[in-house]
Amino acid sequence: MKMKISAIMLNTFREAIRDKVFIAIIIFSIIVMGSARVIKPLTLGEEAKVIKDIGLNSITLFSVLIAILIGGRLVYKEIEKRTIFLILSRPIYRWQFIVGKFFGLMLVLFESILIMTGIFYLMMLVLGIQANFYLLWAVVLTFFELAIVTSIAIFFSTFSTPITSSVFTFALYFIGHLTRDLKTLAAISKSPPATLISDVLYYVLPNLSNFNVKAQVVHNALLDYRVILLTILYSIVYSAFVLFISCLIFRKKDF
Amino acid sequence: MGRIIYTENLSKSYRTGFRLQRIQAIENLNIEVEAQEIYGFLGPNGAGKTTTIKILVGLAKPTSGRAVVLGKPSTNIDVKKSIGFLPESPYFYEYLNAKEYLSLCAQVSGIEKERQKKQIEKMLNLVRLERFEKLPIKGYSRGMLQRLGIAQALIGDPELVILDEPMGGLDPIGRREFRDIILNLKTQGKTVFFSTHILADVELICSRVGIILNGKLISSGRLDEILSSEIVSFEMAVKGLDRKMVKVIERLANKVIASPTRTSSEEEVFVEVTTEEDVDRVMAIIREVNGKLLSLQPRRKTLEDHFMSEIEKERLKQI
Repeated sequence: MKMKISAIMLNTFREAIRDKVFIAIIIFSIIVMGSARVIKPLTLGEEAKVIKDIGLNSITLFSVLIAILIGGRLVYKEIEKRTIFLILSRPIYRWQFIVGKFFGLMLVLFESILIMTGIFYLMMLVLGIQANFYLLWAVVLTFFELAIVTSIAIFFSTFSTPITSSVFTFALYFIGHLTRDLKTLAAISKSPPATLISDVLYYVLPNLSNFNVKAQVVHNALLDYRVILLTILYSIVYSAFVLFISCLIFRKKDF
Repeated sequence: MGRIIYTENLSKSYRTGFRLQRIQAIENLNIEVEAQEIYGFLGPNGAGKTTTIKILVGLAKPTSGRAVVLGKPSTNIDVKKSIGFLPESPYFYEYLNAKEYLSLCAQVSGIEKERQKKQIEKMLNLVRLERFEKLPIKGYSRGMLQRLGIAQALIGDPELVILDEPMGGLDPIGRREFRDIILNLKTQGKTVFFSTHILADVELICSRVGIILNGKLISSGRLDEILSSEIVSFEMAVKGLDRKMVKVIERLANKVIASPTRTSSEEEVFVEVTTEEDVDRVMAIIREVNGKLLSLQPRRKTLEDHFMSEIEKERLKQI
């Protein structure tokens, strides 16, 4: 069973790293991080903080782009190109295919984050900015945030076209950073149906704001490790749930 | 040895288009395939061949009825270990090379690690792709893709091989090689189920055929029973007939083929008649005008005759 999932995972990884979109995004992220030097005159003595900010935000932005653009067509492309026929006619459960695809893209994201973080630290070294490993917490949480984004992209990819999947995933990613406001909305709303709807949406939609600790790490503010642990746990449970729903949809599909 | 495949009232319908119109792809289909036979599944385009095959390999689920393969429902995962499948115009991961692709197939098929390498080499040799094993699939010709298709279907030594239009797009040499591979599978004791509309191939290799039209099985049986040794007609090539005589022969023959731009009676005329008496009558005419009989050939029933007559019968029923 493990062999089958890892075969799908490695094939997904191989496909992505040979994909032009992936290569283009990685090159572009290097250019953006490299060009941070250009804005040095604008940083008004806060150079280190600004460069760290740009670096960490670039890592998040470009890895989210990879997750949305590649994840959004991960399953659909296999159906459209009919490559799936020769996989699902073999002794493999459909959930193993979905799970393999998920871990394959997570492996791609792990690798891209590793490359981008390496470049980020190298750039700080070149610019003589004091770097510490405390910054890595932001990267770790970005990785777990990506697990949710990837699972949502795969979910949409099981039944809709790459463009629709990517747009919906991006919309949910965007909303995910605002869900905290829904809780506030529910609290201040006087109409019971509005409160109910806000509450339901708060629990159903992904809550991604906890994954953003960039400001804290850049300013060396103290992190609450209990919250970090819970956030990681939330990412695992939420993405597992979305994958479970995706598997249910995929199980019923005719090719 | 028993039945390897059987279906009971297998039906499949789809909803398609904006108004979700219902399309009956197959209806109450009952087919049986015995062990170690090569079963030819025939039918015109859109008859329901591919839908049936997709159900047999678990890619689609029946709307009603059931499909049993190797004693278990076709959706059973364990059954798939013993099935090799080649879809119509197969698509592969183009960024992989043949070796990487077969390795992926072997892993997904659950072939033990120790056997994988040997199996991959064996398959590459069988389909003569060993020289191109490192070339990305993107650069493969149509024939090479089809050969890779059969290699992936046979990896792991499956008991049953299901092929959907395997001869499509192959040149005569490729078709010959493919036929040899299929016949070889039979000698190894495997069962082969394949769909096609190239009847000549079926006649050469199949032991049994089923004909499907509009989702229904309209005829099935052993090929040697269908193609009895009975003579269905006589074909004659004749020379030296003038236009008047051609007109006379046209009245008693099934078919007369003479060039409409015939300038002299020296040109050949093709005549097809049904009975020996008609042959004698045509011979008498030839003698009368001092013509020449160039050839006389009895024609036995072909699969094409059977196929066309079955389809014709079905169409007449519908009128």
